Amino acid sequence: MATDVLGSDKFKLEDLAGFNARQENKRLDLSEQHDPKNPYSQDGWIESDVQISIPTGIKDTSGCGKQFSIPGLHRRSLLAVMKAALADVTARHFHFSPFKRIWKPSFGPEQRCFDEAFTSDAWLESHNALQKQPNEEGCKLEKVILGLMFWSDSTHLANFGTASVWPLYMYFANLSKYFRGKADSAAAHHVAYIPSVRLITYYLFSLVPHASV
Amino acid sequence: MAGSQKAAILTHCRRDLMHNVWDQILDDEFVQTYQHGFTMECLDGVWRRFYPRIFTYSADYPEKSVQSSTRLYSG
Repeated sequence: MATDVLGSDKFKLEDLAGFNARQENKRLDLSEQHDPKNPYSQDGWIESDVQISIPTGIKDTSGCGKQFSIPGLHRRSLLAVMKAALADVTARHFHFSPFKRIWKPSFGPEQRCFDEAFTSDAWLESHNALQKQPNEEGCKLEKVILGLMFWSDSTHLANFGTASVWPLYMYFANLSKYFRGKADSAAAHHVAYIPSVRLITYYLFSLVPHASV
Repeated sequence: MAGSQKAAILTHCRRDLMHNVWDQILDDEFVQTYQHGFTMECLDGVWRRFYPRIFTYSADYPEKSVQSSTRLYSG
């Protein structure tokens, strides 16, 4: 960058006057947002409310209880996350076809090894079923299974206090567990942050006047 | 409100929350992709059609962990 940008004849210091990195980043994101070839478009976070119905004990003709809205679900489009993951450098290690791993000992019979998701019977069966499924019209591309693995655990953020988040992660089973398990493999994708149950308690008992927490 | 009643309502709320959260995560776009796949150019330059399948789901469910006392705070 030093030679190409700062060293360029066209570079003028005056152009940087009033430069705001945050604003320029936003502009860059916006310019790429509608490019259909860009796998990273629309993989941003969506914030929404979650509707739940709560029985209040009051007679209700619809039978649905009282609808209540829990704010603060943050999620990403799964499709966008999958596309971004396939464009990511880790996708070089993805297995697109399942197989059986057989170990041939120096004596004795062959043995089937169950080690990875993509060597499991479930994957093989699913893969075979997919190959039998009729192709999308006019599409002759290879049909590949993307194995999604969801993982979630409510996490406390501090030793003191009650700050916590409840993230939902997604891993790709197409990636070997030996790779996926490495802390620096960046194999996990956050797909959602689920609103706290504490929020429900708070809202619920403000809703039902006679309740005591 | 009696304690058992409160617990029952909370259980219901958590379940309903979980269901509705998943209802939003597995949106129409995902369902469409699940059935018909999506095409993508891979890093090797080959186009493929990908079909997502949920292979595992390992998530804690707050209600159960409270029962088994594995959670620090029963919030």
